[in-house]
Amino acid sequence: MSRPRRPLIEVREIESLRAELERQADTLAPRWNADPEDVQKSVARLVLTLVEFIRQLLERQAIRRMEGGTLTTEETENIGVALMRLEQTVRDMAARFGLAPDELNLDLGPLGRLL
Amino acid sequence: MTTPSRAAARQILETADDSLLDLVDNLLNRGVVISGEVLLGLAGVDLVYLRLTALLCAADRVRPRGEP
Amino acid sequence: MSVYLYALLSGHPASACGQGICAEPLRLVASGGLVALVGDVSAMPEVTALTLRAQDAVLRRLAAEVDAVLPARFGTLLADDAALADALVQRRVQLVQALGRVAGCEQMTVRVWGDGPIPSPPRDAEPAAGPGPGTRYLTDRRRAHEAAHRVPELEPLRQRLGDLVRAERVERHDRPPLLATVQHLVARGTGAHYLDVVDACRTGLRPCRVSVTGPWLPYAFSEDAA
Repeated sequence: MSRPRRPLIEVREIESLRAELERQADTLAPRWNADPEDVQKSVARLVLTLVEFIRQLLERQAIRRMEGGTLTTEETENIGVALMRLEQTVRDMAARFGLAPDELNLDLGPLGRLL
Repeated sequence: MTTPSRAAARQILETADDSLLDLVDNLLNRGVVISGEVLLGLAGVDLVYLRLTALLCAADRVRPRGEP
Repeated sequence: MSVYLYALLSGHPASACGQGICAEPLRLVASGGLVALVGDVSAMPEVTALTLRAQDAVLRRLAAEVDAVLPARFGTLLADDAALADALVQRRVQLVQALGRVAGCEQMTVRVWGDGPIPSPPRDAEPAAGPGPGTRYLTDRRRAHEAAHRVPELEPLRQRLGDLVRAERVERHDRPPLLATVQHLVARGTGAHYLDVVDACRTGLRPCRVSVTGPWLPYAFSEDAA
């Protein structure tokens, strides 16, 4: 196998790639430790991250079931409403603790795709 | 069990040239992940190891539709 | 001491495995149809340019001797062989499938650069009965999931590449100028031909630009498509 060829990209482009990888690097270590300065916010962040993670799994499964035709019209509607409310709730609660949506992030690898 | 530190990863990214960036991306963001777990701790001490792969599975693959 | 996982292989390499990134002897662990390439290390290897390059080099060396390699993510450390076997057994079926998928293949990485994503196509007309808000929400979410894995900007290139591409993995970033990353699985040895096709296509891809690196081992193809 030959060595990778040097890409021809601009400095500005390297910067955005670097920024994107740095964003992903922030989720590299799935370790949570309560910040002693603000235990409450740390706990909220962990809890909401887990809820958000589960919400995403539920959403993905619901979409898969909807596409697969294994949900009735009523089930689809009810699940959709529930997910909509869940997303709003997570967002509201995060805001209350001063957490931005992209702080609710914990890289668990491809766990979501195990479904 | 520990995981690679995010500080180390960021440090590489700060000085990475373009040939290193894709290497970083491939090795740190891709590849087989054979465990999905979270380490929970307090005051810098890891206390609890939560293995999520064992807990989560699609419901309709575990129990056929219609069963209680 | 812990077990550091480098990759899963489709068979046993003919020659000796050599050394790992901590200068430790590499060894093979067979587990239910999978062959794991591991080393015994005393601590998590540090993430440095050196260790990353070294790990990639170890895998390239072994990849020359087996048909299929599934690289493990850097930093995959387990307590012992039993823990490794335990972790593998849960994913055995998917991993064996993945090995089959990447057999005889390598990866080309395409970065798509531009000023912004192509605006999404207009929505299909809603059915006359009018779905409720929940159904509309779920449908919107489905569209969002699909859009996150589409790179229509690359269509001219895909047409020209044709069968050269065995599989594709897509990640949209929409962080201008970095729009998306696309990984293409190609047969080993076709990298140069692939690059020629990309070069020939550059005009047709405007206003987007692309940059290509590779060939790489099939890092992005250890999972099923999202």
